[in-house]
Amino acid sequence: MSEFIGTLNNTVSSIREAINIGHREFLDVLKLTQKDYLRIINGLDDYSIENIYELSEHFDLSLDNLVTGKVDYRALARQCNGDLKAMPEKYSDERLNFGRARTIIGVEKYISRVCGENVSKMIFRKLQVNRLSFDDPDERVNTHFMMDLFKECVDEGLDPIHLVEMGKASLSVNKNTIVGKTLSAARTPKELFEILHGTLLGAHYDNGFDYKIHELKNDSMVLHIERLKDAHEIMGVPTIGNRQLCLYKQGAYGSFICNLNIPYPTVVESQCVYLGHPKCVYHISWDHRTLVC
Amino acid sequence: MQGTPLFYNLGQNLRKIRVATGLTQTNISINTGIDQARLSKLENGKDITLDTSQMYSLSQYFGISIDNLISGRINFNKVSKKLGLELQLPKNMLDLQYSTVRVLLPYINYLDSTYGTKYTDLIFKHLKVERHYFVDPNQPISVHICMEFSQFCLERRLVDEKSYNDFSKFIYIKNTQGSLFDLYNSQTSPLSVVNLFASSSSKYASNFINKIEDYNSNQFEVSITPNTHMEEVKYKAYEVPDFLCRYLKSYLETLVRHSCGGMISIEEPECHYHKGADKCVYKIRVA
Repeated sequence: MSEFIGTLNNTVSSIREAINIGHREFLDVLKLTQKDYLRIINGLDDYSIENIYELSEHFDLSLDNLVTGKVDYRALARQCNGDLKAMPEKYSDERLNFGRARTIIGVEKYISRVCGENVSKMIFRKLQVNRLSFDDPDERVNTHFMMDLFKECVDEGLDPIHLVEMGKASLSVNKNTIVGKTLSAARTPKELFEILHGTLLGAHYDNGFDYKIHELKNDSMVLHIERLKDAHEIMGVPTIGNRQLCLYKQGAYGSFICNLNIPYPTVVESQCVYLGHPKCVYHISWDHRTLVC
Repeated sequence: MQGTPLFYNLGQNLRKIRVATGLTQTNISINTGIDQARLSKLENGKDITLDTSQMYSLSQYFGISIDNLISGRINFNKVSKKLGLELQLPKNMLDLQYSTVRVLLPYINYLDSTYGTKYTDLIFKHLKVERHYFVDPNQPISVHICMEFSQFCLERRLVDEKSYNDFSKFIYIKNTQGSLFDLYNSQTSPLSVVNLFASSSSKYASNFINKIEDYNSNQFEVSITPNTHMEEVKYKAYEVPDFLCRYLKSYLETLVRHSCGGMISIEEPECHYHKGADKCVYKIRVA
């Protein structure tokens, strides 16, 4: 028996043990007869990709993770028992929960809308995370998960334009939340950014970075984003996040001003930590003129 | 077992990869260990299944995930790079790959709907390219393909001035815009549509630089400037740049009209092709 077949057989058996399902019921999921199953476990035959496809659909697992044995059985067991928020071990260290679910909600909605629900399903399956389990935008989210999610988006062909657009789309996620409502009440863009940096960012956004207004005028601002030392020491990496996450941030930060019904501003990125600079620097300028609606 | 939908899709996707990369079933068979006769049956949707290790071999060989191999979300460029193969295009079509399939799709859809797919296939045959190549809107293609495609159609009077209106039916559809379609749909004003058009110009063709020159409450000015490499493109007939110019105008007009319910007027005070200017400038007024 090849190593590949051995791994696959172990994966299938481990899934059955983890979810504690009856033998007959498990064979029904696989669409296998008892006779065929015995041939496989005795090394006389292999699982067809159809059997594995059935398993993948039933347990919401990626085909690639199944055939390479990259399944987190504990998370699977919890998910099968109704804990839809169960995360794989690698995303379970709560000390690394620097992100917020508002990002995940926005990204999922964007992928579903732009690429289709099947693609969203495929991406989240690969990470073994239930894509519909995020309902509270303020819920803390593991940073490694966010980074992997953005990497998967890129693998699926979503390029930098899309990542910035994903960020822009966060406007709709925030619309009926305290963030959207508070920002909408501001009278001027200047006031909006003062409110944002006064209380909202710290309480509702990621805690891995320090967002500082370097300059704030009536029609423009310069934003500096620096890594928080504590955060990246805990992560054990020199930089938290990745370039994709940064592009998303660009879009999301620019969208704040749209709460005042001002069109999306011009955001120019002059520095980025993921491009070797000490911090990220954005120059944001907006226009008050009434636009065609 | 009779070919199931799962294997039918897989067979079709396998064929697409083969045609796009120029691989033979024998090449795949040698590199994956899957019997050639089996691959043939799979492509023809006949009485076949694959075991998991064979499926894994295919995905490893092509450098794409099993999920994508089955769902058909295949990045042909990525596959051809992994295999070290050129995508199957005639040599003259590999130069100046600055356009994308997105630009030609309205054209192809128009021809399909007007003359039937068999006729369009004849055009592809004449240009020595495969139709499979013209599926992914983001796929880069040579400027020459666009030019030769236009020239072929113009010479045979398959398109004329009346065709522009019909083209527009195929511009603002998901099939043409792909992932950009919903982005356009989510824009809230004509200006934001034009802004998206300008900022995503590389999604159409880096033959041109699109820029918003000015705007106010109900009109804006957009410029389309040919990139330097366009100097290398020699038009064989005057009709081609003329057509291209009208096509660009129609493309822009259609996108803006959809964002504001149809009430727009568009003028072209400067034109690179007709008035010898450095760029084409469009003044768009929204009622």
